[in-house]
Amino acid sequence: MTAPAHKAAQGKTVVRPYGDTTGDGMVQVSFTLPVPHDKRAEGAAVQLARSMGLDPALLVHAKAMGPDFTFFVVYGSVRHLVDLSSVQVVEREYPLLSAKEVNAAIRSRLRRKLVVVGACIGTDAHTVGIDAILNIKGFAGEKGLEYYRELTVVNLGAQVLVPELVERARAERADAVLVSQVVTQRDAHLHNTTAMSAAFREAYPAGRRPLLVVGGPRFDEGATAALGVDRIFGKGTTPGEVASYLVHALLPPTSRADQRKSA
Amino acid sequence: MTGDVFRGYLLDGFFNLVGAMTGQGILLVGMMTEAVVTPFLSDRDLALQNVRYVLGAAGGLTEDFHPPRDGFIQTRARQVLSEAVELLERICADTSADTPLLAAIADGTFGLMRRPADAGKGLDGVAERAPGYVNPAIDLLEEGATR
Repeated sequence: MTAPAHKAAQGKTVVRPYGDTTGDGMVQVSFTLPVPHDKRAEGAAVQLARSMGLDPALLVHAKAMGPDFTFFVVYGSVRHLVDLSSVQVVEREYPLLSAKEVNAAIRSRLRRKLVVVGACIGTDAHTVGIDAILNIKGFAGEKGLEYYRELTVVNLGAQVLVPELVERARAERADAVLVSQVVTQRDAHLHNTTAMSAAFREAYPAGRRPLLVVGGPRFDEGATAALGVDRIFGKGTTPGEVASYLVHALLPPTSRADQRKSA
Repeated sequence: MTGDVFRGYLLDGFFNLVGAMTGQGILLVGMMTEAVVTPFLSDRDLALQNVRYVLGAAGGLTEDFHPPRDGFIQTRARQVLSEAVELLERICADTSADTPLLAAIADGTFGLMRRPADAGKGLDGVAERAPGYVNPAIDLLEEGATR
Protein backbone atom coordinates (compact mmCIF):
# COMPACT_ATOMS: atom_id res chain seq x y z
CA MET A 1 0.00 0.00 0.00
CA THR A 2 2.84 2.38 0.74
CA ALA A 3 5.11 3.49 -2.05
CA PRO A 4 7.91 6.00 -2.51
CA ALA A 5 6.91 9.46 -3.69
CA HIS A 6 6.27 10.02 -7.33
CA LYS A 7 9.17 9.39 -9.69
CA ALA A 8 8.95 12.81 -11.29
CA ALA A 9 10.05 14.45 -8.05
CA GLN A 10 13.11 12.31 -7.70
CA GLY A 11 15.49 14.56 -9.61
CA LYS A 12 15.61 16.75 -6.52
CA THR A 13 15.21 14.49 -3.53
CA VAL A 14 15.91 16.80 -0.57
CA VAL A 15 13.63 19.81 -0.16
CA ARG A 16 13.02 22.51 2.40
CA PRO A 17 10.30 25.18 2.61
CA TYR A 18 10.41 28.03 0.11
CA GLY A 19 9.74 31.56 1.34
CA ASP A 20 11.06 33.92 -1.30
CA THR A 21 14.37 32.29 -2.25
CA THR A 22 15.46 28.70 -2.79
CA GLY A 23 16.53 26.98 0.38
CA ASP A 24 15.57 29.74 2.81
CA GLY A 25 13.37 27.30 4.74
CA MET A 26 10.91 30.04 5.75
CA VAL A 27 7.63 29.02 7.40
CA GLN A 28 4.93 30.74 9.39
CA VAL A 29 3.15 29.37 12.43
CA SER A 30 0.50 30.76 14.72
CA PHE A 31 -0.50 29.48 18.12
CA THR A 32 -1.92 30.44 21.48
CA LEU A 33 -0.25 30.12 24.87
CA PRO A 34 -2.35 30.08 28.05
CA VAL A 35 -0.47 33.00 29.63
CA PRO A 36 -1.12 36.75 29.95
CA HIS A 37 0.59 38.89 27.31
CA ASP A 38 3.91 40.21 28.63
CA LYS A 39 7.64 40.01 27.87
CA ARG A 40 7.90 36.53 29.33
CA ALA A 41 5.00 35.27 27.17
CA GLU A 42 6.77 36.56 24.06
CA GLY A 43 10.00 34.88 25.17
CA ALA A 44 8.09 31.65 25.71
CA ALA A 45 6.65 31.84 22.19
CA VAL A 46 10.10 32.29 20.66
CA GLN A 47 11.45 29.42 22.73
CA LEU A 48 8.62 27.15 21.59
CA ALA A 49 9.21 28.11 17.97
CA ARG A 50 12.91 27.29 18.36
CA SER A 51 12.03 23.87 19.78
CA MET A 52 9.85 23.37 16.71
CA GLY A 53 12.95 23.83 14.56
CA LEU A 54 12.57 27.51 13.65
CA ASP A 55 15.95 29.20 13.86
CA PRO A 56 16.06 32.15 13.84
CA ALA A 57 12.45 32.53 15.05
CA LEU A 58 10.91 35.92 14.34
CA LEU A 59 7.97 36.88 16.57
CA VAL A 60 5.94 39.18 14.29
CA HIS A 61 2.67 39.41 16.22
CA ALA A 62 1.55 38.94 19.80
CA LYS A 63 -1.88 39.91 21.07
CA ALA A 64 -3.70 39.36 24.34
CA MET A 65 -6.95 37.39 24.11
CA GLY A 66 -8.61 38.24 27.37
CA PRO A 67 -6.51 38.29 30.56
CA ASP A 68 -5.23 34.72 30.39
CA PHE A 69 -4.27 33.93 26.80
CA THR A 70 -1.95 35.32 24.15
CA PHE A 71 -1.99 34.72 20.40
CA PHE A 72 1.28 34.65 18.47
CA VAL A 73 2.39 34.65 14.86
CA VAL A 74 5.98 33.53 14.29
CA TYR A 75 8.00 33.45 11.09
CA GLY A 76 11.30 31.68 10.84
CA SER A 77 13.67 29.45 8.94
CA VAL A 78 13.10 25.80 9.68
CA ARG A 79 16.12 23.56 10.15
CA HIS A 80 14.41 20.37 9.00
CA LEU A 81 14.68 18.86 5.53
CA VAL A 82 12.47 16.37 3.73
CA ASP A 83 13.95 13.54 1.70
CA LEU A 84 11.33 12.92 -0.98
CA SER A 85 12.60 9.39 -1.64
CA SER A 86 11.61 8.35 1.89
CA VAL A 87 8.10 9.88 1.89
CA GLN A 88 5.43 7.24 2.50
CA VAL A 89 1.93 7.72 1.08
CA VAL A 90 -1.07 5.48 0.53
CA GLU A 91 -1.47 5.02 -3.22
CA ARG A 92 -4.74 3.92 -4.75
CA GLU A 93 -4.19 0.21 -5.52
CA TYR A 94 -7.39 -0.28 -7.52
CA PRO A 95 -8.61 1.09 -10.86
CA LEU A 96 -10.89 4.12 -10.89
CA LEU A 97 -14.19 3.08 -12.49
CA SER A 98 -17.00 5.14 -13.97
CA ALA A 99 -20.51 4.81 -12.51
CA LYS A 100 -21.42 2.67 -15.51
CA GLU A 101 -18.48 0.32 -14.95
CA VAL A 102 -19.27 0.06 -11.24
CA ASN A 103 -22.88 -0.89 -12.01
CA ALA A 104 -21.80 -3.42 -14.64
CA ALA A 105 -19.27 -5.00 -12.29
CA ILE A 106 -21.85 -5.40 -9.51
CA ARG A 107 -24.44 -6.80 -11.93
CA SER A 108 -22.15 -9.42 -13.41
CA ARG A 109 -20.08 -10.37 -10.39
CA LEU A 110 -22.40 -9.95 -7.39
CA ARG A 111 -25.74 -10.56 -9.17
CA ARG A 112 -27.63 -8.51 -6.59
CA LYS A 113 -27.55 -4.95 -5.37
CA LEU A 114 -24.66 -3.97 -3.15
CA VAL A 115 -25.92 -2.48 0.12
CA VAL A 116 -24.21 0.53 1.68
CA VAL A 117 -25.20 2.01 5.04
CA GLY A 118 -23.74 5.42 5.88
CA ALA A 119 -23.82 7.69 8.91
CA CYS A 120 -22.10 10.36 10.95
CA ILE A 121 -21.61 8.85 14.40
CA GLY A 122 -21.13 10.38 17.85
CA THR A 123 -22.24 13.96 18.47
CA ASP A 124 -20.92 15.03 15.07
CA ALA A 125 -23.68 16.89 13.22
CA HIS A 126 -21.64 17.61 10.07
CA THR A 127 -23.27 15.56 7.35
CA VAL A 128 -21.30 17.40 4.65
CA GLY A 129 -18.86 14.48 4.25
CA ILE A 130 -21.28 11.57 4.16
CA ASP A 131 -23.66 13.56 1.94
CA ALA A 132 -20.86 14.41 -0.49
CA ILE A 133 -20.24 10.68 -0.97
CA LEU A 134 -23.81 9.33 -0.75
CA ASN A 135 -26.16 12.11 -1.80
CA ILE A 136 -27.23 12.11 -5.40
CA LYS A 137 -25.95 15.68 -5.69
CA GLY A 138 -22.47 14.37 -4.93
CA PHE A 139 -19.24 16.30 -4.76
CA ALA A 140 -16.85 18.02 -7.15
CA GLY A 141 -19.18 17.43 -10.10
CA GLU A 142 -19.46 13.68 -9.43
CA LYS A 143 -22.79 12.17 -8.48
CA GLY A 144 -23.00 10.37 -5.13
CA LEU A 145 -23.53 6.66 -4.54
CA GLU A 146 -27.34 7.06 -4.48
CA TYR A 147 -27.03 7.68 -8.20
CA TYR A 148 -25.53 4.21 -8.83
CA ARG A 149 -28.32 1.90 -9.95
CA GLU A 150 -26.73 -1.23 -8.50
CA LEU A 151 -26.13 0.26 -5.06
CA THR A 152 -28.75 0.36 -2.33
CA VAL A 153 -27.84 3.31 -0.17
CA VAL A 154 -29.17 3.93 3.34
CA ASN A 155 -28.01 7.29 4.67
CA LEU A 156 -28.79 7.48 8.39
CA GLY A 157 -27.66 11.12 8.66
CA ALA A 158 -26.04 12.69 11.69
CA GLN A 159 -25.60 11.90 15.38
CA VAL A 160 -26.24 8.20 14.94
CA LEU A 161 -25.38 6.02 17.94
CA VAL A 162 -23.04 3.09 17.31
CA PRO A 163 -25.56 0.41 18.45
CA GLU A 164 -28.16 1.96 16.12
CA LEU A 165 -25.68 1.80 13.25
CA VAL A 166 -24.82 -1.85 13.93
CA GLU A 167 -28.49 -2.78 14.19
CA ARG A 168 -29.37 -0.99 10.98
CA ALA A 169 -26.40 -2.49 9.14
CA ARG A 170 -27.59 -5.93 10.17
CA ALA A 171 -31.23 -5.26 9.27
CA GLU A 172 -30.24 -3.99 5.82
CA ARG A 173 -27.66 -6.80 5.35
CA ALA A 174 -25.08 -4.14 4.61
CA ASP A 175 -22.09 -5.09 2.49
CA ALA A 176 -20.31 -1.93 3.52
CA VAL A 177 -20.68 0.66 6.27
CA LEU A 178 -19.49 4.19 5.57
CA VAL A 179 -18.86 6.48 8.51
CA SER A 180 -17.95 10.14 8.29
CA GLN A 181 -16.23 12.08 11.06
CA VAL A 182 -15.57 15.79 10.78
CA VAL A 183 -15.38 16.97 14.39
CA THR A 184 -11.95 16.31 15.91
CA GLN A 185 -12.36 17.87 19.36
CA ARG A 186 -10.37 15.77 21.88
CA ASP A 187 -9.73 13.22 19.11
CA ALA A 188 -13.47 12.40 19.00
CA HIS A 189 -13.08 11.10 15.42
CA LEU A 190 -10.55 8.49 16.54
CA HIS A 191 -12.48 7.41 19.64
CA ASN A 192 -15.76 7.18 17.73
CA THR A 193 -14.16 5.15 14.96
CA THR A 194 -12.49 2.63 17.28
CA ALA A 195 -15.74 2.27 19.26
CA MET A 196 -17.60 1.67 16.00
CA SER A 197 -15.17 -0.96 14.67
CA ALA A 198 -15.14 -2.73 18.06
CA ALA A 199 -18.94 -2.88 18.09
CA PHE A 200 -18.98 -4.44 14.62
CA ARG A 201 -16.33 -6.98 15.61
CA GLU A 202 -18.45 -7.94 18.60
CA ALA A 203 -21.75 -8.10 16.73
CA TYR A 204 -20.61 -10.23 13.79
CA PRO A 205 -18.82 -13.57 13.60
CA ALA A 206 -15.19 -13.26 12.56
CA GLY A 207 -14.81 -12.56 8.85
CA ARG A 208 -18.52 -11.86 8.35
CA ARG A 209 -18.77 -8.20 9.29
CA PRO A 210 -19.45 -5.62 6.59
CA LEU A 211 -16.59 -3.69 5.07
CA LEU A 212 -15.87 -0.71 7.33
CA VAL A 213 -14.91 2.54 5.63
CA VAL A 214 -14.34 5.85 7.41
CA GLY A 215 -13.78 9.25 5.94
CA GLY A 216 -12.94 12.70 7.20
CA PRO A 217 -10.52 15.52 6.66
CA ARG A 218 -8.29 14.79 9.66
CA PHE A 219 -7.70 11.05 9.42
CA ASP A 220 -4.33 9.47 8.70
CA GLU A 221 -5.01 7.25 5.69
CA GLY A 222 -2.42 4.74 6.90
CA ALA A 223 -4.08 4.15 10.28
CA THR A 224 -6.56 1.44 9.22
CA ALA A 225 -5.10 -1.24 11.51
CA ALA A 226 -5.00 1.05 14.54
CA LEU A 227 -8.64 2.06 14.04
CA GLY A 228 -9.86 -1.44 13.15
CA VAL A 229 -11.35 -0.45 9.80
CA ASP A 230 -10.76 -1.57 6.22
CA ARG A 231 -10.18 1.77 4.58
CA ILE A 232 -9.73 5.42 5.47
CA PHE A 233 -10.49 8.18 3.00
CA GLY A 234 -9.13 11.67 3.52
CA LYS A 235 -9.97 15.15 2.37
CA GLY A 236 -11.12 15.62 -1.21
CA THR A 237 -12.25 12.01 -1.77
CA THR A 238 -14.87 11.72 -4.51
CA PRO A 239 -17.84 9.31 -4.69
CA GLY A 240 -16.23 7.57 -7.66
CA GLU A 241 -13.15 6.67 -5.65
CA VAL A 242 -15.31 5.18 -2.89
CA ALA A 243 -17.50 3.23 -5.35
CA SER A 244 -14.43 1.89 -7.14
CA TYR A 245 -12.96 0.82 -3.82
CA LEU A 246 -16.18 -1.02 -2.88
CA VAL A 247 -16.03 -2.93 -6.16
CA HIS A 248 -12.37 -3.73 -5.59
CA ALA A 249 -12.82 -4.86 -1.99
CA LEU A 250 -16.20 -6.60 -2.04
CA LEU A 251 -16.69 -8.27 -5.39
CA PRO A 252 -15.41 -11.74 -6.17
CA PRO A 253 -12.75 -11.59 -8.90
CA THR A 254 -14.21 -11.64 -12.39
CA SER A 255 -14.01 -15.07 -13.95
CA ARG A 256 -14.20 -13.67 -17.46
CA ALA A 257 -11.07 -11.59 -16.96
CA ASP A 258 -9.25 -14.65 -15.64
CA GLN A 259 -10.24 -16.65 -18.69
CA ARG A 260 -9.09 -13.87 -20.95
CA LYS A 261 -5.74 -13.82 -19.20
CA SER A 262 -5.22 -17.58 -19.51
CA ALA A 263 -6.38 -17.67 -23.13
CA MET B 1 -15.11 26.43 4.84
CA THR B 2 -12.14 24.84 3.10
CA GLY B 3 -8.71 24.35 4.64
CA ASP B 4 -7.59 27.61 2.99
CA VAL B 5 -8.01 29.60 6.19
CA PHE B 6 -6.72 32.81 4.61
CA ARG B 7 -9.42 32.75 1.96
CA GLY B 8 -11.91 31.76 4.65
CA TYR B 9 -11.03 34.81 6.71
CA LEU B 10 -11.65 37.07 3.71
CA LEU B 11 -14.92 35.32 2.94
CA ASP B 12 -16.07 35.82 6.53
CA GLY B 13 -15.13 39.49 6.20
CA PHE B 14 -17.33 39.79 3.10
CA PHE B 15 -20.25 38.21 4.92
CA ASN B 16 -19.71 40.60 7.82
CA LEU B 17 -19.65 43.49 5.35
CA VAL B 18 -22.98 42.46 3.90
CA GLY B 19 -24.39 42.19 7.43
CA ALA B 20 -23.08 45.63 8.29
CA MET B 21 -24.32 47.31 5.10
CA THR B 22 -27.78 45.84 5.43
CA GLY B 23 -28.02 46.81 9.11
CA GLN B 24 -28.48 43.34 10.56
CA GLY B 25 -29.17 43.27 14.30
CA ILE B 26 -27.71 39.80 14.61
CA LEU B 27 -24.56 38.66 12.78
CA LEU B 28 -23.85 34.98 12.43
CA VAL B 29 -20.10 34.99 12.91
CA GLY B 30 -18.14 32.74 10.57
CA MET B 31 -14.85 31.23 11.66
CA MET B 32 -12.01 30.36 9.35
CA THR B 33 -11.50 26.84 10.68
CA GLU B 34 -15.19 25.91 10.77
CA ALA B 35 -15.45 22.29 9.53
CA VAL B 36 -11.64 22.07 9.30
CA VAL B 37 -10.85 21.52 12.96
CA THR B 38 -12.90 22.45 15.99
CA PRO B 39 -12.20 26.19 15.95
CA PHE B 40 -9.33 27.24 18.19
CA LEU B 41 -9.69 29.92 20.84
CA SER B 42 -7.63 32.15 18.54
CA ASP B 43 -9.99 31.50 15.61
CA ARG B 44 -12.90 32.68 17.73
CA ASP B 45 -10.96 35.78 18.76
CA LEU B 46 -9.94 36.50 15.15
CA ALA B 47 -13.56 36.02 14.03
CA LEU B 48 -14.74 38.61 16.55
CA GLN B 49 -11.93 40.98 15.54
CA ASN B 50 -13.11 40.57 11.95
CA VAL B 51 -16.67 41.58 12.93
CA ARG B 52 -15.50 44.54 15.00
CA TYR B 53 -13.21 45.78 12.25
CA VAL B 54 -15.91 45.59 9.59
CA LEU B 55 -18.59 47.15 11.80
CA GLY B 56 -16.17 49.91 12.81
CA ALA B 57 -14.99 50.61 9.27
CA ALA B 58 -18.22 50.13 7.32
CA GLY B 59 -21.08 50.02 9.84
CA GLY B 60 -22.14 53.55 8.86
CA LEU B 61 -22.62 52.53 5.22
CA THR B 62 -26.03 51.08 5.99
CA GLU B 63 -27.73 54.49 5.69
CA ASP B 64 -26.24 55.01 2.22
CA PHE B 65 -26.88 51.50 0.96
CA HIS B 66 -29.88 51.59 -1.37
CA PRO B 67 -29.72 48.91 -4.06
CA PRO B 68 -31.24 50.34 -7.27
CA ARG B 69 -34.81 49.35 -8.10
CA ASP B 70 -34.89 46.15 -10.19
CA GLY B 71 -31.11 45.88 -10.01
CA PHE B 72 -29.22 42.64 -9.40
CA ILE B 73 -29.71 42.65 -5.63
CA GLN B 74 -33.43 43.42 -5.64
CA THR B 75 -34.11 40.90 -8.40
CA ARG B 76 -32.20 38.20 -6.58
CA ALA B 77 -33.91 39.00 -3.27
CA ARG B 78 -37.33 38.80 -4.91
CA GLN B 79 -36.46 35.47 -6.50
CA VAL B 80 -35.22 33.92 -3.24
CA LEU B 81 -38.21 35.24 -1.30
CA SER B 82 -40.75 34.01 -3.83
CA GLU B 83 -39.09 30.58 -4.00
CA ALA B 84 -39.25 30.39 -0.19
CA VAL B 85 -42.94 31.33 -0.21
CA GLU B 86 -43.65 28.79 -2.95
CA LEU B 87 -41.86 26.08 -1.01
CA LEU B 88 -43.85 26.84 2.16
CA GLU B 89 -47.11 26.89 0.18
CA ARG B 90 -46.24 23.54 -1.34
CA ILE B 91 -45.56 22.14 2.14
CA CYS B 92 -48.83 23.55 3.52
CA ALA B 93 -50.73 22.03 0.62
CA ASP B 94 -49.26 18.57 1.25
CA THR B 95 -52.22 16.49 2.40
CA SER B 96 -50.33 13.18 2.58
CA ALA B 97 -49.04 13.95 6.09
CA ASP B 98 -50.87 15.05 9.26
CA THR B 99 -48.10 17.47 10.07
CA PRO B 100 -46.71 18.59 6.71
CA LEU B 101 -44.01 20.82 8.19
CA LEU B 102 -42.59 17.98 10.31
CA ALA B 103 -42.79 15.68 7.30
CA ALA B 104 -40.86 18.22 5.24
CA ILE B 105 -38.20 18.51 7.95
CA ALA B 106 -37.97 14.70 8.09
CA ASP B 107 -37.46 14.51 4.30
CA GLY B 108 -34.50 16.84 4.32
CA THR B 109 -36.37 19.65 2.57
CA PHE B 110 -34.35 22.24 4.50
CA GLY B 111 -30.62 22.27 3.90
CA LEU B 112 -30.79 18.59 2.81
CA MET B 113 -30.62 17.68 6.51
CA ARG B 114 -33.00 14.80 7.21
CA ARG B 115 -34.56 14.92 10.68
CA PRO B 116 -37.25 12.21 10.92
CA ALA B 117 -39.64 12.62 13.86
CA ASP B 118 -39.00 9.04 15.01
CA ALA B 119 -35.19 9.21 14.80
CA GLY B 120 -32.68 11.14 16.86
CA LYS B 121 -32.52 10.91 20.62
CA GLY B 122 -35.91 12.41 21.47
CA LEU B 123 -36.37 13.21 25.14
CA ASP B 124 -33.20 11.26 25.96
CA GLY B 125 -31.27 14.11 24.41
CA VAL B 126 -32.88 16.73 26.65
CA ALA B 127 -31.85 17.47 30.23
CA GLU B 128 -34.10 19.29 32.68
CA ARG B 129 -32.63 22.40 34.26
CA ALA B 130 -31.60 21.73 37.84
CA PRO B 131 -32.67 24.17 40.56
CA GLY B 132 -30.03 26.89 40.72
CA TYR B 133 -29.09 26.43 37.03
CA VAL B 134 -26.85 29.27 35.87
CA ASN B 135 -25.84 30.12 32.32
CA PRO B 136 -23.97 33.42 32.27
CA ALA B 137 -24.49 33.80 28.52
CA ILE B 138 -28.27 33.61 28.84
CA ASP B 139 -28.19 36.04 31.78
CA LEU B 140 -26.17 38.53 29.72
CA LEU B 141 -28.48 38.16 26.71
CA GLU B 142 -31.59 38.63 28.81
CA GLU B 143 -30.33 41.82 30.42
CA GLY B 144 -29.44 43.08 26.93
CA ALA B 145 -25.70 43.39 27.53
CA THR B 146 -23.71 44.14 24.40
CA ARG B 147 -20.17 43.10 25.37
